[in-house]
Amino acid sequence: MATKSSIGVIVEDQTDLGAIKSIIRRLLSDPARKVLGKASRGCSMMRRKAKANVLLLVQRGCDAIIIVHDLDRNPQNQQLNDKDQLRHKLESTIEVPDGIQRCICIPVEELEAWFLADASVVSKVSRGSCSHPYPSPERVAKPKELLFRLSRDSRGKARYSTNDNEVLAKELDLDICAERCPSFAELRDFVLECV
Amino acid sequence: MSGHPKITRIKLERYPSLGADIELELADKVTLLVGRNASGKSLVFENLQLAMYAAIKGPGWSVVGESRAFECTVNIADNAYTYRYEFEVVDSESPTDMPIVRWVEWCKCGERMVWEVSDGDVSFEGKPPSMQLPEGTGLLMVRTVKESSVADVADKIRVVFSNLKHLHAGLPRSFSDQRQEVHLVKVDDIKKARRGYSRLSLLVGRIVTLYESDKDVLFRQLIERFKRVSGQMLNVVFYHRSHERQSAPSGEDYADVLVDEHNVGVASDGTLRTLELLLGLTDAHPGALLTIEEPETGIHPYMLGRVLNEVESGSLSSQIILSTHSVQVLDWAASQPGVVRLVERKDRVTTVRKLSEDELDCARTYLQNDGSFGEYIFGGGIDTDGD
Repeated sequence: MATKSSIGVIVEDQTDLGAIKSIIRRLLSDPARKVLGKASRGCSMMRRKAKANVLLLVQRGCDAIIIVHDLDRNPQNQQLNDKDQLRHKLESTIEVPDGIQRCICIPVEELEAWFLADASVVSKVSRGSCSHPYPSPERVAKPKELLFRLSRDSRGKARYSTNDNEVLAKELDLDICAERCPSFAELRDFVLECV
Repeated sequence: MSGHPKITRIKLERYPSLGADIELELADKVTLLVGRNASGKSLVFENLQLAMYAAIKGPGWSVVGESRAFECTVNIADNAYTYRYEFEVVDSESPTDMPIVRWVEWCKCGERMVWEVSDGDVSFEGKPPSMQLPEGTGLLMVRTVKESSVADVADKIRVVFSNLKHLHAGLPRSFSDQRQEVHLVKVDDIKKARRGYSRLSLLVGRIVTLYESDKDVLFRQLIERFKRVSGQMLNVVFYHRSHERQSAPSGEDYADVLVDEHNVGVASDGTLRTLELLLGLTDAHPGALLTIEEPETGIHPYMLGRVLNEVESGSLSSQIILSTHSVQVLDWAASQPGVVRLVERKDRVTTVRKLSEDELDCARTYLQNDGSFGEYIFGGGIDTDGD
């Protein structure tokens, strides 16, 4: 069994897991503190498996659990889902044992918005063709699609994929991101309190 | 997908193996074909290839009595063009002559006739015929169209049809291939692997060709994709210096493809399949259609997830049709359940349909209540019997 004081992360998919773990490790700056994670295949499965994953992570020595669930849009009307409603749903369905800290992080509208906050990351994705940040990334509609479009080559083929997220997370300016993305600031503040 | 043509609808008529006419509406980016074994998913892909090939090269067969039709709606610069051909193979009057192909073709934009071909006479924009083509020939088979208003549309449709790419199901290494090094051999001016035209040797040949034709852009993209999906390095090494390759003797070793410095022939089946899929995504022509059968075969779920991320990225510039038996692939598409097309076969007739509005409503409710889209489709009542 791992030693105590690990942080557990539960996310929707593997690319989110790589990015979130990378960010948390950077915030912790303590190599002795482990970050363990469980990725699902989509938000429905994440919610369904959350109880089992919470218990597993606690059993493996985590004393803090972070759940990351994109806000997303309603596919029928393309409107952003209600953040408070989603938070309430997650809080009521994903419980943690006593003594375990819990953070529910809801990127708006999805985790990829965080990368738009940092000009150097935008420049990296676009191979230098765009070097300005987006001052309000959480207001950008479909940020992942924007990253695809920014990364297009001369033939219109996207060079970015979400498989790049872990690498981008290693380069993301965490302070700027927290300044521009309230959802990221919540995550940052929680992790720093865990230190 | 601004700037690239987009196919919205395909219709295959009188293809005997399908048993009936098939109409397939394509989603904006990725369309999923789902159906049991022997439902006809592969037949749809095969006949689509035949149909598009016939439009640009002719039917290629001359069995008297054969008759086919193909219709395709393509969005070009916000206009919807519907292209259609029909052909029939008939006996010639002389018993010693080849059968005759009767070819009829048209292209419309809404109600406006863009061009029409009948018995070789070509009319543009509804005017009297002003061009003559050989018997059995359509406009897309001709390289030069003088009518400038039509040439651009015809070119774009021809590019879409001629660049259709298909990735077969299964693994690149066949049963008869042993795990051993594969070397590309130069044969005259055509490169082929020592063991002939096996799927694996064709894969090697395509990678070397990509390196030689577009080393700085497309091959680099393939390297990047392969690295970020599999964590492995891809490289091509040649047996001759670049200025000597053109004149290199036939029959000699020409090039090797290496994965992490080992010959690709000794790589695992899953690695080869991943490489084949990523190559398909990388060298797909922008705006053309890419069809992929069962991407999940032989690939670890973690790797499959990463491959699907590349498919999502690739769908920005190419429309992709996937066929699948995988719960994971369906779960990946859960945010857009409307992209699924159910392929069913009954009494030797294949049908393809979208999910009905009721089925879509039920799917959304199921997902909102934390169900899995894969389980919704495969769990009974949709793809399989029983509710």
